[in-house]
Amino acid sequence: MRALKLAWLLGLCAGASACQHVEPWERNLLARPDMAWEVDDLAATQENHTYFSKEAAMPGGGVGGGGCGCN
Amino acid sequence: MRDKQQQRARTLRRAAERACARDARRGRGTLAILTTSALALIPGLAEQAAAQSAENGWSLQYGYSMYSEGSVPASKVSAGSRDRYDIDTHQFKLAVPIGSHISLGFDVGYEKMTGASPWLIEPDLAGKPMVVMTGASIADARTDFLGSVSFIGEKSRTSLTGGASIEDDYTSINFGFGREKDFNQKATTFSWGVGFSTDESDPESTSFTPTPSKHTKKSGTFSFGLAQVIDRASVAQTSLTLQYADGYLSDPYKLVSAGGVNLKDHRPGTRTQIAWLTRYRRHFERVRGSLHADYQFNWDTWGTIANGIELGWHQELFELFELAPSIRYYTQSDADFYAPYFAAGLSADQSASSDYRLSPYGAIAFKLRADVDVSSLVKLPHARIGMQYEHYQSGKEFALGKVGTENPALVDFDVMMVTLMTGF
Amino acid sequence: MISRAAASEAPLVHRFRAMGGPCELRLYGAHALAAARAAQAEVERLEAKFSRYRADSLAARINASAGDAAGVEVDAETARLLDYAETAWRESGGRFDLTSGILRRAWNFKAARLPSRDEVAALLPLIGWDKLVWRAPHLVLPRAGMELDFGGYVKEYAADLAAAKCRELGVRHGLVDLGGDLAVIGPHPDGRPWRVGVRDPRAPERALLHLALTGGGVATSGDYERCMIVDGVRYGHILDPRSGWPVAGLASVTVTAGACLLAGTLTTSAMLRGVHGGAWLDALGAASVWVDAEGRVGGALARPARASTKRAAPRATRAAPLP
Repeated sequence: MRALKLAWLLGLCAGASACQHVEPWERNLLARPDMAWEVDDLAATQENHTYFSKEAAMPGGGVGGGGCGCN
Repeated sequence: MRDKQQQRARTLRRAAERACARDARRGRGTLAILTTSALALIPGLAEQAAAQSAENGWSLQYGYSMYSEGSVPASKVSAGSRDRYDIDTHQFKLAVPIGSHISLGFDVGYEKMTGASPWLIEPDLAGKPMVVMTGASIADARTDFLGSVSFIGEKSRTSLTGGASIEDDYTSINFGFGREKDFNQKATTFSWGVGFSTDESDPESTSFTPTPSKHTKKSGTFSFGLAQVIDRASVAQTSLTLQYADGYLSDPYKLVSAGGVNLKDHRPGTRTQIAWLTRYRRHFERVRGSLHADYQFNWDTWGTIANGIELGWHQELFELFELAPSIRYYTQSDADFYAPYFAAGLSADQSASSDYRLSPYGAIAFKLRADVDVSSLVKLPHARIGMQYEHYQSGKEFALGKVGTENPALVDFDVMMVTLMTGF
Repeated sequence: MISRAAASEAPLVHRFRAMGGPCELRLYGAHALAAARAAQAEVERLEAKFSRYRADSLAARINASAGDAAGVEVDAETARLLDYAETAWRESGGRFDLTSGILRRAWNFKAARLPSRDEVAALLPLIGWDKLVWRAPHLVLPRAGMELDFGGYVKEYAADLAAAKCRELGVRHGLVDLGGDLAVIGPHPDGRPWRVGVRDPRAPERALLHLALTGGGVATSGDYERCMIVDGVRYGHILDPRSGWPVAGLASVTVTAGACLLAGTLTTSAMLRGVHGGAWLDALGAASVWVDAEGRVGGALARPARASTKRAAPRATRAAPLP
């Protein structure tokens, strides 16, 4: 647990120092719809729900919605 | 060099077209068109326009999906129907702005399930595990609702959610709080959230469930994450989610075969899970395509460890079409109390499950997605149709570690999905 | 000429002359000086490139190619400016036209001499964006004598680029003023907007109203600067490229928009629509204030002050948000 957190924090620091300064007006590429975390919210919800009900792992990325009986 | 600049201009124009749709609809076409053209000339204008378009707007989405599980091979079934689940899902998602800083969200989902599901695993005469499926076709429906209020500040967003998922025999109610804050001129975003859910299952009295009774479960989730702009064309996000669940975590519809006797599926009364998700997006200007790479690590107190990786390529074609193939690989180890069947029998109160979801295996999924901009055809702002197909295949041969006995109930499925989207 | 006020809160004020007028940069912060120099260099670069008065400019090279079917190949920046000009030409109904500059061969406002109808008509075959062959990066001016005049929008473009340059160099609060064409870098450090007066064309020493700006750009076009009166008839310098003759109706138009370039294109196009210019801007949803030849004041920015146009109370208006 502890080692995991430490590794995560180390990764973060290494990551942050590798970042370039990008001015807000240079972020047009990042604003493209195909650069979104989820290109389609509904499809992502659906996929997460399917994986959640068929696999042992819970979906990551945030606090999700409700559970289900999931037969 | 020149190509690159033209691409940049085109990209900017695309962004602007989105940003300008509102004015175009109000008959302010000239202003929108001039702005679009100016975007290619003036650094910073595109960012301003994007910021304006990202401000509080409305959106409406509808999704329909058809999920179909492959039937179980005859060689793996000892009794029951071989036809597994088919699920049809309808989803609606609506976001409505109240003023410039508050957004209300309403999500409704309805799914209808038909088919048979694995009931228990028992050994055949040679000791090979065979699945016993439920007999007649089960039909069930699930409806879920989610309401949200978001407060949108200049550098932060706060949201409150409340939802419910309702089936004949299962009810789940959940609440959540989430907050995002931007730093570094919005190059860094820190987010955290907490969630709480309370579930109640009320298994129907069927021949499959020896002693139906009401059960409850409560769970709490905490999550935090960080998103960072790496350079002009790439961003990354990493987040950690922790969940603690307490209560009845067993599957009331499943049995385990132990020493020739069928017992109820019985799992520990608590479970702590961790999910660590890291996502990366990079745009390649030259080819007008974006790479999506997601990696997720899962760990829990039941002894399962899972790794999932997904790689996708989103290719823009002819400015209004987007094609995105992707591949997902997933592998998990089994829970401490899992076995396809328990030859020696079980002591009282010993945890035991033969659920394929807790078995060791790996899975590969192939997906193909297409998005078409139809704004000009249907005269709706930002109207888009998305179509997605996924084929998912699981088996012990895909597992990262060596798996001795494969659970015969492992599932393969196909999903077709269509989404209609519009909004400002 | 650089002066810095003693108080640390005061902006750096950097003045220079370029594009035929006085220019002023007001910049806050540690990067102000470097940014001011870079911004001035940017304006001077554009002047050198697009001035038709300089023999070595790109504009001169383009104009020298008129009549040559081979045409010229232009760089990416010029190509984008030409693309923009084409859009503006189309959206203004053929009024905003880079080829109309040659009308000055017939119209000499200094000499106050009215050209003959034939003189003007003789120039018309050389005017009209649609007569050019523009396929990026290739530009052909098919007829000898044709000319492009970038003067109609390069100053506004320069104001936007100067502001962008300042932002690039770390300036977050400041204002660029190129002879009355403004681009806002950001509000004062305490968030206060820049207060900018709109000149009253009937009494140029007085402000018609004040705008409060935190972003975007402002441009003004007026008919009061240059005109001639022949036989008691006033001829303004706003010339319609389609007829070759002056358009009357508006004395002055000021527009605020997401960028100075946009504001400038809108003011120019509105002036060329004469008496209908104000209504046209209103219909577009542009944030404008205009004064017509009769002294009537209108436009979205002026509306609350309409009742008493003599001394309009200052009011806070944001630059028009981008669409």
